[in-house]
Amino acid sequence: MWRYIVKRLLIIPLVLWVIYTITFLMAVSIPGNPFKQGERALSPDVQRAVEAQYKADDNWIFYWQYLKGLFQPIKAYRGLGPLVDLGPSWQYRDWTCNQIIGSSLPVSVGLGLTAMLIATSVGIPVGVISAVKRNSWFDYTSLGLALVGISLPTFVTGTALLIFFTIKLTWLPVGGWGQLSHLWLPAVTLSLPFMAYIARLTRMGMLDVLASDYIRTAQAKGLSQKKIIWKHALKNAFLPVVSFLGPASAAALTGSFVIESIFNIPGLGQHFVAGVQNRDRAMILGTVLVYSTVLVLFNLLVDITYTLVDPRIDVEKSGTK
Amino acid sequence: MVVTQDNLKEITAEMPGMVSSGQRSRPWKRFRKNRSSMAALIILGIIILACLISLPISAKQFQQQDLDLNRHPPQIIDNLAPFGYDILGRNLLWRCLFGGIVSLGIGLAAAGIALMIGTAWGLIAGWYGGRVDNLMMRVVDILYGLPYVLLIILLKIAFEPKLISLLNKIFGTGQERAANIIILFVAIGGVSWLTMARVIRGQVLSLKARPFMEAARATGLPTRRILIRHLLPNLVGPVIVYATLTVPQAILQESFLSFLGIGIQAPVPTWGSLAAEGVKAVNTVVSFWWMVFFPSLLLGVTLLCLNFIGDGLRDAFDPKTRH
Repeated sequence: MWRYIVKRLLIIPLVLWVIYTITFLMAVSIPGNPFKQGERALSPDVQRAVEAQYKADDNWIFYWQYLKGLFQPIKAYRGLGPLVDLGPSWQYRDWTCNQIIGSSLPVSVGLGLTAMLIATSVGIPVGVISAVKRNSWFDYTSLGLALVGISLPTFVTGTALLIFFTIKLTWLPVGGWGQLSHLWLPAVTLSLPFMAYIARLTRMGMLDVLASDYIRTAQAKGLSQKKIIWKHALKNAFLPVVSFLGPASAAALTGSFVIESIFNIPGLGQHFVAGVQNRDRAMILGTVLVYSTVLVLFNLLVDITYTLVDPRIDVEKSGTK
Repeated sequence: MVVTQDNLKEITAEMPGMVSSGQRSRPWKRFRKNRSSMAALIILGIIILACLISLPISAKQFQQQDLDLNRHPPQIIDNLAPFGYDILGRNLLWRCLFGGIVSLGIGLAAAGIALMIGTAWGLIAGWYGGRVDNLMMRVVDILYGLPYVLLIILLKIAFEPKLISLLNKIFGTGQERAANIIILFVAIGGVSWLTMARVIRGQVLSLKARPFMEAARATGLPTRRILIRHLLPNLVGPVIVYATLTVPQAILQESFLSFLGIGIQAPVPTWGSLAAEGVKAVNTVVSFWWMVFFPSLLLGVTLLCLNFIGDGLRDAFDPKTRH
């Protein structure tokens, strides 16, 4: 098990390097850069000097310089710079990407964690109950609601919640960030689609497991229904949910553009989009690498959880999932 | 029973998992018994029919503006405008009906692309296994690792100008709108095939290990025949299910891109862009609710129906979940 984890951790830099290279190639293929779009045209010499400062004039040099900056333990040890240097932003020239991401990522992580907590703590019980009481009114209602959660764009559900709770009921502030009351509406909006998927996956997994032999054995032994459902069955029914939770948490924790723009939240999601729209190459690479790192780590966590939940699954043999 | 070359085919025909002619109609029979899925199918049919029948009118009317009527609430008596007017005084009824065609077109195109690439990719990876499988699935993993919004935006920015000049060369000037729609179709389809590839690969891997496949190989059937006659029919179920579930996802993705302002360009409407426009018009003093409500209602109901149908198909094709 430990050997497997170490092996996977060693592959991570390789995966990130591939993602870095692909993203770099895509970013280079976009025409234009933010240095040409100033308020007034710069003289050609100044323009060239600015581009040279940001390594925008030579893609090859930029590629290696940026790559080197991504992991610089010696420099960091001597106190000459951060361990991971995502470079200066091309668009916001007084800021480094480290500063921008460092200030916006915690906001997104806080929001995303709350949303995932809401999603799992509602979705799993709902899924279990609707599987146990299959074809009851509870099952149909929760399935229908889950489908509604998947079928509406978040900007519609978000706006609807916003109007209802802030303007009609005036229970909560309209937007902004900084107080606990600012957290609820965006977190709930963000959690809705995840909640719906989790409830559906739990229900499907539970239906499969409840029909299996070992549950019948447990029933024959005379175990209480409660213990069978919540302990024996849920443990195995949980597996598909776990593999969904990996990528879903990665997406939730690195910010959502829609939620941030509706509720006016200074998260990371806006920088994904703004980076591309501004042709801010350092920002594109920085945000993609942050997202990919989180995703890769969560996928590793998922595979480890698999073996913990079901020891029969041998991740070392089946390879990376 | 002694297994010989002669009776092996008869034996394999009886084996579970093998699709024989009698079983083909069973999923449909099961699907028809599923009341919520049938209701969804009928409602979806009505919406599609309404969009198609009104197309000759809506194609002309969707960009007619009357600035005097801007943000006018729904009315039926003076003008036929049960959905009200948008910010430029365009009748939302026609815009919603025409937008339906565009939205559903995007969904279908994306599902078609996902179907073709995803099935081929998954089939090859699962069939050859080993190193090929490993390599192909790592490609899928890495594409999963890139945030898809970024992928779509990059595809759009990088290839749209090239496509416009190419189309202008072939069909004459003024092909921007066509290029924009094609790029969006391809971009959304291009990120939708990943799930399909994973599902098909998993299915092929599990089918390959089943006794009836072994029997087919043992009888000495050529690979092509095994693929076409024995493997593909067993993949029809998951392919149909995931293609159905790709349609609503693609429509949702387009609505998200519209919200970003990089979806289908104005004045061509989609349900997503109409809802996004409506959301942006909402303010604390007057909520122009009809501008959000009707496009969202159509979008939501359509996606709900598609999801219900997809679920129904899954239950129908996969007898394991049918308890």
